[in-house]
Amino acid sequence: MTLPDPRRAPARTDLPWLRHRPLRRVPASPAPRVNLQHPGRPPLGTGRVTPAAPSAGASSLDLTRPSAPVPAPAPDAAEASVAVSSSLDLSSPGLTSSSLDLSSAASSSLDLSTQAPAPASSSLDLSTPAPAESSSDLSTPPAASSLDLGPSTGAAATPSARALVPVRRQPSAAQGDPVLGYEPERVVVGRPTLLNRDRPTVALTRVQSGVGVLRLTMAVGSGVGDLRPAAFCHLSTGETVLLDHNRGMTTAPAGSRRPVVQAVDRGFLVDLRQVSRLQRLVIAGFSPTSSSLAWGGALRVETIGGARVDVPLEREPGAGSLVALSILNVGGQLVLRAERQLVPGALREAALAFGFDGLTWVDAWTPLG
Amino acid sequence: MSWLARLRGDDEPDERDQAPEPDEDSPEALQAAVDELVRFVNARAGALPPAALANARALTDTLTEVVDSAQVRPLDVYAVISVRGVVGDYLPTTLKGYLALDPEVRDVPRAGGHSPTESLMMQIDSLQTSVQATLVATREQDADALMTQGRFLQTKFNRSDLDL
Repeated sequence: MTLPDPRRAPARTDLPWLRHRPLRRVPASPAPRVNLQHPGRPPLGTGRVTPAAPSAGASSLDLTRPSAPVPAPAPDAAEASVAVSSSLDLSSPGLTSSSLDLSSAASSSLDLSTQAPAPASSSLDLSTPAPAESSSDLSTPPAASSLDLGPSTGAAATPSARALVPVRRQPSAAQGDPVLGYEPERVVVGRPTLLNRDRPTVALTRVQSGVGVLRLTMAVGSGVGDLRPAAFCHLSTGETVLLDHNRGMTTAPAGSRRPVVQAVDRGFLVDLRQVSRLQRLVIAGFSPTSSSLAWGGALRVETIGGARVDVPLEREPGAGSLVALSILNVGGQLVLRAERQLVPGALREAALAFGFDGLTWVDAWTPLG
Repeated sequence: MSWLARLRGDDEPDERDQAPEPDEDSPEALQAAVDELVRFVNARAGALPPAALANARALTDTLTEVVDSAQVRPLDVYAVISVRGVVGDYLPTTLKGYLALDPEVRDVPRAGGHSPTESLMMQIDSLQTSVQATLVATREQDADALMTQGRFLQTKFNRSDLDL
């Protein structure tokens, strides 16, 4: 089973709504709660909210601000809560305290609620009143924090809301993204680009790679010999096709009425509207009679916008297939590279030398259709 | 041959029998190794992601640039070691390790959070960064050598500062 990549998941648009949705208010009076304040403590000063009195059946831990101020707990009320308080009750002043009762009158080392004498407030002191607001004061949270999922008021929630907005990072090969790891040279419209040993590769922009037709034409003089173009095409479907116009192998996919690549006289046409279906294209020149050729001429690549790339076909005279150009589709950009590799042998050897091993061959020149 | 051996009439050793051993660190040998690496990459292009293939070929271009800089001045030992390591070990090992995987698991994230394809891209990028740094250092040495030559010529053919 393939797990989906969470980074490619669609952006969550419901998070702001979840944070700001109106919550149904629960009536405050029957809510069971635990009072973290010692009942014998005097009422707090101005600006502080007195915790609610412990009520019967208290069993849960309420760390939220009470909905309405209630009077300070009277000793009688506190004593009344002793009978039914659970072991989690941190405020029970009763004498019959359990082992987890942290507020018993008999002070121990674990007593967190003993009020007198209170020399200094520690960060673990949950009940000792302090004149200043501290982060450990659970009874009166000073402001909405990033953990506050309730209705927020004012500008305090704005930064945390901003922090939740997903930021799309730039794809980078250094982080494993399938992109070019370098800044490619581009084709300048109106000025032919020559691919040679010093500048073997150039990349078309996404617009140049996706609009119109890419025309590849082999311009060869008569002195070269019987030089014919051929192309190996690897499609995104996994299909590998050999294109040879002179032998009727003219479309990729084979037999398609809407081909991605089409072989024409002395060249090829790439339908850039379907460029996403093209993965790799390699252009080669060969002699059908296996005769030695005086390599020369050039392969011209033209876009509909006027960009032009020339690849020389110059090598020492010899037999075999001259692989002139490879075209890679990297994320919608076509990367053109002058290969200039003369592969001895027939077309089958040239195909294997460039990784087109998905073809089954009838003979060294003809793949099984 | 010593003068005593000539007096005794000893035969001179045939120089053809003492053919120099091929220098594996010569620019020609390094370029041949880079070309062999290019053929290795091309022959496995069908099983590599297009982006990895493009970046691997860009890496071989950078290696060629480093070797070509030997036309200006000999490569220093660090550049030779860098080229030798990438060409003979690092990049082939990375590609072989990736190609040995079952294609179905190449895009499945591993325990580290990255899939093998992502790891392949990262490794090629690391190698590119390393070789690019070697190329920059080589070019800076060339620039320093050019500046030194300029100071030498200025001192040799201009008037000396001590002339009155």
